[in-house]
Amino acid sequence: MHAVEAERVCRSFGGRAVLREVSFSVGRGERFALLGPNGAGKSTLLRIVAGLLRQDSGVVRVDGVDVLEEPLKAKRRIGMVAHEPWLYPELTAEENLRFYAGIYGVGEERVHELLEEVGLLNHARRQVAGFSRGMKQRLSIARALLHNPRVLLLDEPSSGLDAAGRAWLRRQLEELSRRGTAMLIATHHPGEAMACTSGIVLEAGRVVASGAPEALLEVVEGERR
Amino acid sequence: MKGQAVLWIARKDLLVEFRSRHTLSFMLLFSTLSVVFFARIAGTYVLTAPGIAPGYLWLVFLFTGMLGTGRAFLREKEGGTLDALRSMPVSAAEILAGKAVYNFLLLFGVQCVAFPVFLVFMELPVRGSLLLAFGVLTLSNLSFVVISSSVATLVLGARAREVLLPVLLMPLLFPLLVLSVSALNRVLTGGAGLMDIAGEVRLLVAYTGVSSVIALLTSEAALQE
Repeated sequence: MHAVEAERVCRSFGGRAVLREVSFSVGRGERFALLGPNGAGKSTLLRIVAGLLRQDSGVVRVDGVDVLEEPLKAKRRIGMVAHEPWLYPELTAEENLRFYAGIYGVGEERVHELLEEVGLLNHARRQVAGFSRGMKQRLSIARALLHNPRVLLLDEPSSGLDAAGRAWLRRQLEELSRRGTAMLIATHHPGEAMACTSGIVLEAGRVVASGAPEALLEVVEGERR
Repeated sequence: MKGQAVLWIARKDLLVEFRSRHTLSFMLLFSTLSVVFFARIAGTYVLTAPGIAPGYLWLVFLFTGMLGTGRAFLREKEGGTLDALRSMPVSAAEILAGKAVYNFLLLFGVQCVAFPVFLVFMELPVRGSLLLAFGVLTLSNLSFVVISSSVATLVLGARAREVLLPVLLMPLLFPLLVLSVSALNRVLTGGAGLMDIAGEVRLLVAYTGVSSVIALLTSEAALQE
């Protein structure tokens, strides 16, 4: 069974097709890149897999669970790092994680474990409003990992991170991959794409290439020229 | 529906409000000023026709409530955290219920301040039980937050949502206002007891119940993107 399976997924907004019969599958521990220019449909695809948006047709399964038929069951298996950090600026880092942990039914010790893992234990009692973009991104990753999801969805995860932050993120993703977490990464960053094991290139909502990241980056570069 | 998620959402909203003090402080200020203005303008009429006083009180609650209760969802929408809530394994009904609990506590706080201020400034010749009047007001506020929280989800996607919310709310709140004003009037100025206003109370309970069921049934569609 694949960690994520998409079969002929279509989605339109106001008559404009954003995704056209997109199909792919992601295995356990695989880092799968979603490449393509702005407006290609990468974020829409991630939102459909996350159960935030309904597809017009086609099927999406997460760990064998249909996201439309059993959305709550599918959402228990998914963690998402979106373009926005999904944090409450008025709350501290610890309070933010404690809230999400409470909803997932995860214990307090996991909150501290993750704060340590993302290097924010010393900032646990600081309000998120005073955090840099990089710190918010680290906390956002901790939030997405609270319930040990089997599938992690990442939308431009390295945006706002400096070189050290990007290296840290790469190590984290590799470690998660070793633990068997499947990842779907929408990215523009060539370095991030190269760290993936496979992927697809989307253009105007269609899959125009699939395979190893080196070949995909050549397709993306070719389209730019 | 899991009560745990509902309580976590309400608790988080209270904590955010406690830190920012954006909504409650304005609601308290607005309600107190409105009561004082009404007392100054209509004070002489209240002495000759005390029956109009509960109507004034409800006008204050109506505008204060509309000012504050829509904020709970709007804040999530503007901060991007509504997606975070929807990405978790919680139903739309649980999210709505969490917001309704928070809104109720907010409005109850306003009620605790505005009701005594109203009694002092209106110089109303009270004949009945103040506790019973407070109970009627609490029950009415419960109904109010169920309806306003539900309608707030329906207008989330609209462009002019701040204007649309009161326009949609007014007709829905009309039966509640009529029942509540009648019961308050009979208690405060007529000296009626609980048995005397049993008809209004029963209808208020039924209205709250029916509104809650409709709100929960429509929540999934209302919170869909």
